[in-house]
Amino acid sequence: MTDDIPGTEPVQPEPDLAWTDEALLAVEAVVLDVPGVTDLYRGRTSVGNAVGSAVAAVRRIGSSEAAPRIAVDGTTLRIVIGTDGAAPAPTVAHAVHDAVLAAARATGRQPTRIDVRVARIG
Amino acid sequence: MTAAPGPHEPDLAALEPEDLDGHTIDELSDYLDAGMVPADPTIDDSPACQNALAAIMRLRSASLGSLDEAAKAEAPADESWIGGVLANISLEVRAGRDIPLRAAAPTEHPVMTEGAVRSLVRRAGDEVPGVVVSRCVLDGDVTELASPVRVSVEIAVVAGHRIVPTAESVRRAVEEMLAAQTDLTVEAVDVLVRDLIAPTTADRVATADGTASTGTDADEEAAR
Repeated sequence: MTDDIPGTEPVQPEPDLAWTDEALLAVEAVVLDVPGVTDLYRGRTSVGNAVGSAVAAVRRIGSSEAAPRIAVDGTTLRIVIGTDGAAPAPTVAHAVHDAVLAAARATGRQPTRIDVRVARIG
Repeated sequence: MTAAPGPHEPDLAALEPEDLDGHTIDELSDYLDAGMVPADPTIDDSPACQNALAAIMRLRSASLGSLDEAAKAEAPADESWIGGVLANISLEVRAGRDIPLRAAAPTEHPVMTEGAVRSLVRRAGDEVPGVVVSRCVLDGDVTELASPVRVSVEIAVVAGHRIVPTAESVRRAVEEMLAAQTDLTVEAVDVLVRDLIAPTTADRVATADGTASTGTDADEEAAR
């Protein structure tokens, strides 16, 4: 339907707060604090294989790189992790989702989807 | 021991650098030889390379030198059984398909890469004493959460280890690992013993504590 009835246009929701590098880096720190997470790799914004080139992935220890590794696709966050192999990977992935969602909401952002991809275990 | 790779097994020369985030299995082996210094972030920060390095390290430490002995007696590495195993590692660690995990919220979309799962299977098998995993395959539609999946694991057993109990240990280890670390619906884990690795003198000493059978005993057992 393309009817245009004056005064009935849908109200556009408030645009979500844009993700800045600083905000993403703060979320990355949250991810790396989740028990069982050992690595955070770079995700891709395109749909499909988000692992691909992991050239800029950063380890928990010894990183000074500032570019965010969490990819943003509209209101979707894409996160690629490695786990320690001790904690069950599904549990870790679930905990990452919860932690990221809480961190995002705490800054006024409302991601509609959080992709957590486990690319390495142990 | 060690038959040459079968016709279904990959050829090292056919592998592309994209399989390992821009690296080859030879480069990773060289990197290990150099003690992983100087650090190469394109390797250190690649999950595929890390999965491959872990598998290569296990392969190298397997059987207390049996594989070195085997390598000396065989054709050049790219044609040998070990070359076939390395080629399989290269293929298995690629990210592959996305394997879904159970989500508890509408915003949650968790997955595991097929490469991570295959590496998990390989690790579970390699950790069984006297075993080197030569190949593992996930059969089934792993992209569907409840779809049944059949796991095939091909192994080599160091002579002196009893084959049937060893294969059963591999099957159990893989089953338990997948149950703990994935949400796959595993229908079956098939273990195929494809090779016997001749023991070195060191191996014979190591297995002379009565916990393992003689090579002759092992040879007499059915492989499955």
